[in-house]
Amino acid sequence: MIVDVEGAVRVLRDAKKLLILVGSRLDGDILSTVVKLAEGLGAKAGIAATGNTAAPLREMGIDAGKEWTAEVVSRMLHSEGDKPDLLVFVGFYSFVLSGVLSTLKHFASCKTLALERRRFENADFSLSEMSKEAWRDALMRIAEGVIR
Amino acid sequence: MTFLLPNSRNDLDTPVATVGKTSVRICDVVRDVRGIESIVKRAIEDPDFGWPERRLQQVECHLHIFPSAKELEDWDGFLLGRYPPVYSPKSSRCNDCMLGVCDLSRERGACGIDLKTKCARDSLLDACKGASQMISHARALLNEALKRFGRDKRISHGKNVRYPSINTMLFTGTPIYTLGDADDALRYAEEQLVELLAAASQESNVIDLESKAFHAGSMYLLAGEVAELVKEACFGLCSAADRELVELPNFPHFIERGIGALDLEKPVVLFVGNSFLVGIAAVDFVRASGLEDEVQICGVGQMGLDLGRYYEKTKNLGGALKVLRVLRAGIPDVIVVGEQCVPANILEEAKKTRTAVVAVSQNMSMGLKDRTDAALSEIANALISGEEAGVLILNPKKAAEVAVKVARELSRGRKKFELPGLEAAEKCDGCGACDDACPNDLEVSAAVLAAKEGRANELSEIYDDCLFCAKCESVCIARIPIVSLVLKAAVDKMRAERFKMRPGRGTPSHLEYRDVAYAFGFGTVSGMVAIIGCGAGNEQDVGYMVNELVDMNFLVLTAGCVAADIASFYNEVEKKHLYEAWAALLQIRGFLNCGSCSAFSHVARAFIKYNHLIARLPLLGNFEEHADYTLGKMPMGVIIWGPASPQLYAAAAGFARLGAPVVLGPHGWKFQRFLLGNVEDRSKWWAYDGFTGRKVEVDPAPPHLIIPVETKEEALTMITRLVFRVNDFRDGRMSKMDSYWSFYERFFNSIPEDFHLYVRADAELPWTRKHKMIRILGEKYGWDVDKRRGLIIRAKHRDGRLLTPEEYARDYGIRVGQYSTFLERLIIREAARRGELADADKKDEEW
Repeated sequence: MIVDVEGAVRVLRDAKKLLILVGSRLDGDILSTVVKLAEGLGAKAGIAATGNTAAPLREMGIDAGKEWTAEVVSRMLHSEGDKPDLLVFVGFYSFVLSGVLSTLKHFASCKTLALERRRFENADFSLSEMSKEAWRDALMRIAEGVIR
Repeated sequence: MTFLLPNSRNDLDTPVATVGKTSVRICDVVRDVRGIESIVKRAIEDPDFGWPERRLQQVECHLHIFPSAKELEDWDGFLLGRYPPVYSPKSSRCNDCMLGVCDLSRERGACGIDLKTKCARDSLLDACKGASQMISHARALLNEALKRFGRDKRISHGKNVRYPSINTMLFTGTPIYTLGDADDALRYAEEQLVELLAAASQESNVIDLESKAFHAGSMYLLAGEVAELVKEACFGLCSAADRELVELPNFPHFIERGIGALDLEKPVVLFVGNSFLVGIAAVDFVRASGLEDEVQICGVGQMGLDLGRYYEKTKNLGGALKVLRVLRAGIPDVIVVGEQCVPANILEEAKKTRTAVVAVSQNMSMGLKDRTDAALSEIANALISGEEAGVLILNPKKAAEVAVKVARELSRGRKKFELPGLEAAEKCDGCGACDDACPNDLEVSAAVLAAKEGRANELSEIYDDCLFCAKCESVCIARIPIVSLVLKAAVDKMRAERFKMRPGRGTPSHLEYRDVAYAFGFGTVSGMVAIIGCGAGNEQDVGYMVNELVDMNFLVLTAGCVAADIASFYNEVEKKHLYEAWAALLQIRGFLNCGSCSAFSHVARAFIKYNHLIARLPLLGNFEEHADYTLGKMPMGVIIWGPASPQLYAAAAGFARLGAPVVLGPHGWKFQRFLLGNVEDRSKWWAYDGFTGRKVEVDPAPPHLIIPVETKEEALTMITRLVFRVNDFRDGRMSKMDSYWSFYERFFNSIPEDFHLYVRADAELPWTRKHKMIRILGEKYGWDVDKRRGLIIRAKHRDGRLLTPEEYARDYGIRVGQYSTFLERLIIREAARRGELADADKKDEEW
């Protein structure tokens, strides 16, 4: 389902436990926005630093654990522990995320939210196509929205 | 009527194989002995590759000679139980039969299939596609060799190869000594392929389907080996097999890579796809006609590598994927097009620059007229005049001569780099369709808009990462020739591309294996990693990884189109490009290129060879034991980089089944099937103590069998993690831990969260990190440690118990130096296999 900024905020607020997966394409200021988003969501949100993002996150003072996207997906399928009910993706290559979302859609029970510049049909909730500037702005508004 | 059951115990007249004083009835060691009695007997008794007497007494000898996938299900079942397939389906709709279309996302289809099974069938099909391409390649070469030399032609393996055709021996039980042997081996692969394809539309169990996909992978490697043997033994490709060790660091010769290496005033013949026989015929013709200084023989992809092994003046123009880069720039005068790795629109693209096309494969004939029987001059004239844009010629010699003659004519006055100016970008309205279409997620529209404003830099940057698939052009409603614009902006870069590379040399030699066997076996070398693939968007990625791994003292091999990409990487410390910076050796501080994609088989060969060299594992019909040993003991792994092709899918399956884990680069996410272990599930991580038969909880090593990653740094770190083995020696575990930790800290600025799972004793912790590790084990993971002295007092088992080092060694992992296995039949002594420990063993247990 395509969601706008308000829709994404609602999805994030409604989740009981969520994990934000930070993809390898994120750079400085957008990474800060994602951190702000996680902080705004409080204790129910965790950050998984995939790709090479653990290092810049640590430099920003965020002790996000290094995660391998494939392992997160595998855990969602096989692990019996306390799992997130929402996975949020931001900053991924589209060809990576398409595969990830397809697995989760068909074989996992959690919901997914793609906060990317492109629409992902296999996500339960996805932003639509937009320019880089509009995306940056949308993420900022979402980060602010969850605080309010 | 009486039916004779195979291997009936009452079948007393069956032959007996004898080694020393030990005999086995051959009907007891294979599923169905009928028709292969002599092969089985020889497979056991062969003094070089067969069974040492001790081994024959120790384990349950079972050979798999010409096995079907089903016969290897013990091993496949173990692997797929520990590393279950995870699928990312392209679509949940199934249209495979006349009852569909069915949506499998919520319910089964009309035929009863569910989505996982559909995915597994697709997986098998992909593996079969890849295997069929290699088998077809090998068959074409072998048939030509059989025609020329006959079945009895001896295949010389070279004086430095003691173990010929290792991939094949594991499955056929017979070394390849003649072309006839090669024909028998390939026939087996062809039969298996037909069976596997038949199963792909019928089999209904996921594990069975994936086991068959493994089998297709094994057949891929077998066929690759046949292709390589024929190329080397019958068609003169250079090989290290006959060289002295002192020659090897500089073997083979350098060839030049890159458009900058060409004289653009001279004729250029470019070989694309698998056009091997035509390629060497063209070289022979050029040599015989004294045209070596005039006609430039070039290749992309496998032809850039194979021809380079045959002819020192070959110019390698990069990976097959990027052939459009060369074609659009109008570099070749003639392209010779074979099968595999060829864009479907290559004829259309060639027409744009009036490049003549000579198709040479009936599997890629592009609708061209078959002119095989026409006179040579008639064909050449039709191409030169432009009357025909391309022709199909199925006679290699004739095709070669036509290509050279036509190139000489067409090159006169022909201009290269005739590309549109940046004004072609003016029609761009920034709709972004090209961005969405780009399979490499490049920001194309921003670069085109910049060009519209007169700036070419952004387009030039796109050049570095572009796959040159031209999808951006096909979706552009303004019909902007984006690829040509990218090339225009990067003309200077292209002209400057001139690097030295070694085109491949086949197998590592016996001398090299021997030279590092001790270090490799005992683990002072962290591991052996092969980087293979079809070439990446950014060519620097692969070179970077090779450089890092060599620097980390891994043994590094490469094969496939990525081998050409490596050439462009510049080592800042050595102040040289990579092929010049490192010795061409399977040795620490060296790396070697085995050759084109058929040379993936040499990589597998290297893996198997070490098993034999270090553990003396019998080679004939003994695949399972080798795979068991690789997964349990030998630190080997594969990185596959670049867009995923069916051939790589098959290769990945083949390597994974052999026990060598595979890391896929970001484009590997399109593989749609991964084999991921679940580290948290302790029930999956066990091995048999090879002497007592006791099932022991072990460290999760390797944690995955086929796993995709997102970045090259992740690939490097993951591969250092995947070379951990339950049966590591002390030094091996120490050096692997050091590599893993080192990459992890450097790339992610953190420590590996799972390192404690691989700690077995304080003596195995890397000295330079020992105190830090001990401290973290104490503070974070609750181990009882002596921080000051750097000792583990009590280790914390995964079940929560704090155990003394002795107790921990008994209850977690395999004791250093102890034989272990994942297959019950490979436990030593029958009593232990039955779970009946002798008294001495019980005492051993108590210890």
